[in-house]
Amino acid sequence: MNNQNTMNPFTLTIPVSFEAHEIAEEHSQKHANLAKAKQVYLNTLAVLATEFYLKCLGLEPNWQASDSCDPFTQTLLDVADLWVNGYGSLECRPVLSGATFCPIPGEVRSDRIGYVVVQLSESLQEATLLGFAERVDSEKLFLSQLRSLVELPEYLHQLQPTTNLGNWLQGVFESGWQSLETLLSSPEAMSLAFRYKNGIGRWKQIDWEGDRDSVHLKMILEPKQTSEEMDITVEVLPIPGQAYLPSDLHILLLDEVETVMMEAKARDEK
Amino acid sequence: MTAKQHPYGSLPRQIPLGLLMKAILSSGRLQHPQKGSFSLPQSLYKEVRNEAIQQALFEVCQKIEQYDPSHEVMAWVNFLLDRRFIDACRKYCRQGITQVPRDTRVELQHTQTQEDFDKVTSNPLDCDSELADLIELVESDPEGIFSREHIRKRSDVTFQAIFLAKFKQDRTWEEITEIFGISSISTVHTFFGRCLKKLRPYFQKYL
Repeated sequence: MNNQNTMNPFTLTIPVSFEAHEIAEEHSQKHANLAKAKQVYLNTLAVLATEFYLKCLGLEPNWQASDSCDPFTQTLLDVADLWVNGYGSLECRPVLSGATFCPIPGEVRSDRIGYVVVQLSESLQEATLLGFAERVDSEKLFLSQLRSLVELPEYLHQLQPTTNLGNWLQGVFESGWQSLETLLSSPEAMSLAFRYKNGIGRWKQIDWEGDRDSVHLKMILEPKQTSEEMDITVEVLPIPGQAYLPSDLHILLLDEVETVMMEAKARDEK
Repeated sequence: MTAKQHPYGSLPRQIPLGLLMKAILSSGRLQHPQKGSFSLPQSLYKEVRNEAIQQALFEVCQKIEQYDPSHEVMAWVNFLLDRRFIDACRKYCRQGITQVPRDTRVELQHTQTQEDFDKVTSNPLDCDSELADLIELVESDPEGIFSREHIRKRSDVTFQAIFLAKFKQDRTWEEITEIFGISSISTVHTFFGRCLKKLRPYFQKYL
């Protein structure tokens, strides 16, 4: 394939499917206010076009888990977010042809891993993904400042993938986390299930580069009865067959802005 | 092709897949299946074909392992497109079967265009009844929950207070951050977003 278009940025024009129109209409019809209905319609088309593209690439976008899918959020805010499993929320803003910038409402300027701009054709039958931005600092995102769409996969990969524990309470788990029953032999599993009967637990194996022994990381969430908070129990165990954890193991629990919330080190004693 | 050599979902595969999609779409060599023998109204042809193209593209990306490099790419793509086209036709036929076949484009599609939106004039009286209902609900706070939710360590900054400031008093997010003396605007956004998710069942209950 020739390397044509080195001067033109990489954009992708895909047809908008009948299903996308159907979904967009279903959502816009929930809003009697016409300006809001239009906003929801266009936002939904932009999100669904982006969802299609990400799915083709093998990522796991999940619109159902996004704020922009909820009618109350739609009424109150101008959001067009798309939750991407393992990464976070990508904002997908629609523009019409001829636009030089994309307006970004205040409510979406934080809590996003990036912004994709989608140009919709006049007939609304085609959606062109113009490019993306990592963050937006003002109300206008100028299209000339967008990064080329071809860089999006790499950009997503170098983000630290986050694990969204809140989603665990809804039964949504990132890939790699397995249920506790698969880990333990049955007497242990039963005592564990009893101890944490109100909780949700998952484990995953962590392999290190090089020569170190893998470990099993177990996380258990227990929502508290009386308040918003949850107890989070983190256990790290050597894999079956190993007696000890790596002696220099250091565990940090970070929140989404990388504040250290919990910390522990492996001890030297047996 | 490089996309094929790498595992599904991994980065080295994603970039070539994106380029491949673009190449296919701009090749000008996607065929027009059933051109002479299309069974639905001609006006639907473009939409049905678009639908088929989208499905075929996705299939190409999913099944890239099955691609045999000794065959020409577009031949394979068009082969998939043909089959997806038949599927799309079938789907449209099925959905149209209960409809009166007059101006089926409108009836089947319900597709709205930019002009459709611009043509309809908004009735000022009809303005924002959903919003008004929400405001009333949050203000009256029947179960006291809206005034119970607050930013951590700031029991004075309740969801109710922020909500009313924004939607009843029409303040901007910046003004709200200042008025309540919150350190960063993203704290407000995050808090508000989380509350919306959590309070959704209450909204649904009352509205």
